[in-house]
Amino acid sequence: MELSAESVLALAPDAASAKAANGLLKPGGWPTLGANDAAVWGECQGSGSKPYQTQVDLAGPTFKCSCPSRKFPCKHGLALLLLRAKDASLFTATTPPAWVADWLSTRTERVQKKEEKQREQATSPATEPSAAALKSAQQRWAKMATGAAELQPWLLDQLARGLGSLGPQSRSAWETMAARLVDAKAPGLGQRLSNAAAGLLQGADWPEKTLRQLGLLQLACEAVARRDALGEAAQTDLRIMLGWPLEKEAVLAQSPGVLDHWQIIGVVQEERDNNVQERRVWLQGQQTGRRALLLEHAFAGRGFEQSWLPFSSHAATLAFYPSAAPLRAIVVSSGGADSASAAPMPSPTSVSATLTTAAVSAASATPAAPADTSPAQEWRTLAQRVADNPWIPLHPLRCHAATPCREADGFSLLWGGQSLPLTLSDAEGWALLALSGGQPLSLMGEWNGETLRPLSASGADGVWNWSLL
Amino acid sequence: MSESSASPWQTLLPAAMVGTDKMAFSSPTLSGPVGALLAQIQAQAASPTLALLQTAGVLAVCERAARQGTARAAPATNVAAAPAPGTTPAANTAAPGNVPAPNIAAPGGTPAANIAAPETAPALTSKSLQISLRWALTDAPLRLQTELLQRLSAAGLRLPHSLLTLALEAGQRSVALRPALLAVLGERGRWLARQNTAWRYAEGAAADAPLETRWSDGSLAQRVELLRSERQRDPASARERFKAALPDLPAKDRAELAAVLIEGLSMDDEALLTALCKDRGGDVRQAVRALLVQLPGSATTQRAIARLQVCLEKPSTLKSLLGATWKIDAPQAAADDWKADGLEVQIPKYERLGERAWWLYQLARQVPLTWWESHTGMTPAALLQWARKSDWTEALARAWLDVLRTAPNIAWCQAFLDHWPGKAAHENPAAVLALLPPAQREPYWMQALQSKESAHASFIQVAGQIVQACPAGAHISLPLSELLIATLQNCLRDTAVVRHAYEFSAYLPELCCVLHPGVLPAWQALSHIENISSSLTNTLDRCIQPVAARLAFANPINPLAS
Repeated sequence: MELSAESVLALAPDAASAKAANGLLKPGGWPTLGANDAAVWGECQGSGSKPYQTQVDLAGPTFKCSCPSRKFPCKHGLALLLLRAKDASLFTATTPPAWVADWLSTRTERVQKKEEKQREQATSPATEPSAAALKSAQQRWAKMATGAAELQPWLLDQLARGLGSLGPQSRSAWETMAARLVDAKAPGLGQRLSNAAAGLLQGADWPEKTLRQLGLLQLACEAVARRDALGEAAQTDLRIMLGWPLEKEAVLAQSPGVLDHWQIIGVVQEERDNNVQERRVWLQGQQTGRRALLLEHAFAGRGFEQSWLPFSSHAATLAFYPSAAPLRAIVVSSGGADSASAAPMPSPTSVSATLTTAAVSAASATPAAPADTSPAQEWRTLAQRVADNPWIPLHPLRCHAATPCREADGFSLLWGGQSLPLTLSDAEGWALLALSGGQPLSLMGEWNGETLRPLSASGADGVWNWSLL
Repeated sequence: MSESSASPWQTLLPAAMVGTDKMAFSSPTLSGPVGALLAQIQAQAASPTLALLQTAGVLAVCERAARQGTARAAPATNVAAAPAPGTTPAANTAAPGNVPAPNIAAPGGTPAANIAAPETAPALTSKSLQISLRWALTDAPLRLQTELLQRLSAAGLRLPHSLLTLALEAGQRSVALRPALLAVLGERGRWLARQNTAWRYAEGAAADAPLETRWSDGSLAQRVELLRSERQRDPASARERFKAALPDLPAKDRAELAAVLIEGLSMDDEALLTALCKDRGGDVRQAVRALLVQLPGSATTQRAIARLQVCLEKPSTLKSLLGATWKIDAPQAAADDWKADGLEVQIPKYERLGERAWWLYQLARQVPLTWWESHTGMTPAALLQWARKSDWTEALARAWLDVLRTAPNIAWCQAFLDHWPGKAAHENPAAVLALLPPAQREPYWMQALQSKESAHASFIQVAGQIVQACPAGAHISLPLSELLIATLQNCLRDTAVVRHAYEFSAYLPELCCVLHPGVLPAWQALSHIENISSSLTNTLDRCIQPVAARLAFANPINPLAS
């Protein structure tokens, strides 16, 4: 793992942790410092009498610290890695002490067990869902269908009376309808209606925007009513849009794993309601060329266990969520050659197995960037994805030979003869411009249908990626 | 979306706004598969409202698939152009009928490329130094930022692009940092500054703008700088420029620009200055008279000398052999020609001096210091001692200080410091110390540190003066630094010093940036002194990063491990 201040600080759960970590950088505050290929460890003198024992497993990276902080990773872990990035010579010890060696061995045990379990689940034949499970699924669909059935006449009513008759008081009426949808176990639908309510009367183009949202709700109602006629994949997409997520075990059981060298092309973290952090990690497979999204949530102060560094590459097996346009995935196991030989994979043929071993042997070398795609290809892939699953909110776009530039009130990207508006803070915008100097970059971002949010960029002089700070 | 002149939504909105109960809904006509679908909807829908909603849904999804950016011709670049997108194949059922043609002809030709020039200097590559610099640009005192940037520039390096935004923002906040910053921005930095109006100061190209533009468009501060540099090159033309600008300037500007004329002051300026003695603004008159004092040959000063000479009485040769000295007596009455020369007869309300002392003060204020020496034959030190014994100490001291401030004179400054007139001058000796260049001040500081007074009080006082006096980026000499460290060590070992920890914390972080680099290892050893109170330890901790940065930047090309 390449350690640099920027990549370490990108792991911080919030800006306050990053700042606190910077304050811990004095070597005097660390009586013990040690490192080897697998881990970095140290003891940090805190305000108490006994120093805190902090350690980082580099194959992750994963953190552990004896301080009472609930943040993850805590400031000690971050400071330890920052120190290592700054001056590796401080880390004199090479044999890990007991408290490090023990943790590392229990970790590898635990990780192996987890991966084995996941592989078992992936390889074991999909067990027939029990009758009880089937019944509860049907009940849920029935409830959601009832909700949609209530929504349909409500939508017709709004248009019959006309959007012009809506006033500020309509917002609460719409919110009430949204709450009914949530009660009907269709929170996704309720959220969409809530968003539409929030946009009422806002901005000069509110009628068009609202009509668009109502059109999509209409589509949803009809889809729910016709759900049995939809294919299984489209039905799954529908149910996920309605707000009924799939269990991880179900995904592992149903989906064949896809083994590839996955390059991290973009990472972003956002706060959602109720103090929940949502993290999206975008991947691109170097052999398959497929794109994948890892979507995770962490609660109140806890960070994410696994950290993903942009521009790094991991050999791993992913299981895609069933969908007409598969995008979201979960990691089944990491590592290439080991997993290929340890247990029979359901899908890869011998061809891909040999490819993997070759890829793994080249793992230590810098991963080759995935082949450049032209703007037309990117837009076409995007259009196809929408055609297959119109409910996807964010699409990954890779823009090669794209030039960021400053507009009157923001930043935009010149790419393929077009100008795309960018959503990013001023500081991020200037950092991108500083990287490009007017020259084209390779940039990756999330496209929401109107604007592009850049998450990573690379140019002749270096790289940039989104970070919390 | 399609380049059709009317968006399909326009057809839907009237019915949607008014309500399908009242207005009929007609579906927009589109070509291709989408149009066929919409026609099908219109034909099959159970009600017009349903048709409207369904049409809206179809259009929303199609838009989602098709919407891209706004067409804009790419500027001509000298990099290999982006791969030209090939002709798009026929759309499938869900794609819209029209896909925008990728190569839109720009109106009036392709715009010129906006690209940074190639760099001439290598970037700072050391990662640890980049981390230090990132910290310094946000959190360190100005003098440390200046020092680090100056060392970069001296090593022939420039800032890496990842630090440019931070650096330009630091320069935006702090005007004093800008000279050091401009030297290490590199071409990319200057290009970046041109893209943001807030960073105009760093454009570099602004320095190429003709002098006249900068003079006419500049702020007061910029004009002062401009005039000063021109005055150094060509005093006469600077004077003419100032004279030409006078009618348009407000009083404050006139006074500040007039003060710049002290550089390269000569008898050629007399005419202008004498004319300005009648200026409307009081500040202007005061500034100009202070300048005239520095021209002993000028008519104004000659008159002032004549008036003062009357008050001085030289002892006869016989008496001087007996040890009698010069006598000075304040004027008994004010003459009529005083007002014309700016001498006020009436004492201001706040003035402590008596009437005659006030008159003497004013007279003495218009006389150059050198005249005193030449007329009485006494050295500055002797003059001060003589003044202390006279009846008019306060008037004389204040007058001499006023003249000294306009044109600092090392001999007189030292005389004042050695023979301070005590309470008669309403000032702190530090004010005079401030007039000396730092190199001349060092002996006084060392003396103060070694005095018998309480070590920490003198340390704090000297530290404060040093920090104030030393310009950003400069450092004091090795002997003084060693003395400071030794004194500091004693202070830290003294447990009674804890009560003054607050004062230490005010100065130490900046002091460690002013010391000679040779004593920095000794400073780092300070943290190992035992039994320091926690507040002092905190203060010393705040110094760790600045000191480490200074050591690391001693050689930016091959940095020491810090």
